[in-house]
Amino acid sequence: MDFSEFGRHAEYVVAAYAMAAFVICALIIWVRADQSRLEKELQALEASGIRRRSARRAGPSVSQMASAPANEKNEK
Amino acid sequence: MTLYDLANPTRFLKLVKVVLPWLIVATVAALAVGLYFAFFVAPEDYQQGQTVRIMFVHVPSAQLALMCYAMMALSSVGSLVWKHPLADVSAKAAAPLGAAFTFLALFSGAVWGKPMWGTFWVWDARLTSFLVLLIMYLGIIALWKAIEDPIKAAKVNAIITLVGVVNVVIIKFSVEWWNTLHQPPSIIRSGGPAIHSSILIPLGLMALAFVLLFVTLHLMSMRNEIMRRRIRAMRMRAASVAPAASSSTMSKAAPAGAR
Repeated sequence: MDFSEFGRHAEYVVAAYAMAAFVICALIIWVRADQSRLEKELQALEASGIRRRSARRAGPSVSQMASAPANEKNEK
Repeated sequence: MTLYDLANPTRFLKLVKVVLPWLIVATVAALAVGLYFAFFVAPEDYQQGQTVRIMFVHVPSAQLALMCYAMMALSSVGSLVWKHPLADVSAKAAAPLGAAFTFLALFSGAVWGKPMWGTFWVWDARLTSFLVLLIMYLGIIALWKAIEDPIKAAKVNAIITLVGVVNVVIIKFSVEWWNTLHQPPSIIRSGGPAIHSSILIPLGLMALAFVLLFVTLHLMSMRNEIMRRRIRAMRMRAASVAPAASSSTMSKAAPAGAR
């Protein structure tokens, strides 16, 4: 495909793809930033000794479950 | 693992941890292949020229906007009828994604409309009902934020989401019920697709890539929402324990006559 063939409609095609890239990147950044903020908050709470009522004493923390490598076996 | 097992958020988080890396790889690969086909394999349209390539962003975004709302409606049923612990988490996590893809469908449609129709916007039934969908998504997001108790918020949002399904039906059939500037269905219609396979295959690949992207982002958002609810539960538990501890300390310290 030759980009010079886009001619007088090039700006419309570029605008559509640029906006798609922007929206998708913004979504990814937003979700990742939210995750990192929540993980930090959970770790801070767990470090201060606060646990959920249903949390097992020997079980992994929620923040560990969200961020630990996939091959780590937490299941007992 | 059954659907009942997945109702447990802890089990769900473990499943997400295993599935997510594979989904990310599949999404990136599908996007790369889809974009290659969209720009280097698909021919230009004999009438629209190069602007037909906008379709490879516009159609998957629009389909995803509707699919996301349908999924939110199903989650709402799960939330209202079975009180599934993950159903309202799913509905809440999907709303911002649905809003983003609805906006993208509207924007790409507008920049496709200008060279083809001579205008960015007309108040025809398809475009207007799609704008209503965006407003509904924004309203649902605002409602989730406005009600602090997630259980109350889930009930209210589930009802509103189910009422809004009528707009999805209107969007789908608007081009058949009314005379619109927007074209009638050209993919899912009786008599088969009206698009040549040289353009239909790249479109299918891009649609698959967008669906994979949505599933990936949705699972990540659901995981975030579960963490957010656990933080809330932990804070409430800490707040309920703290006054009890302080009052027992005070009662021990206070003289007998003061009790």
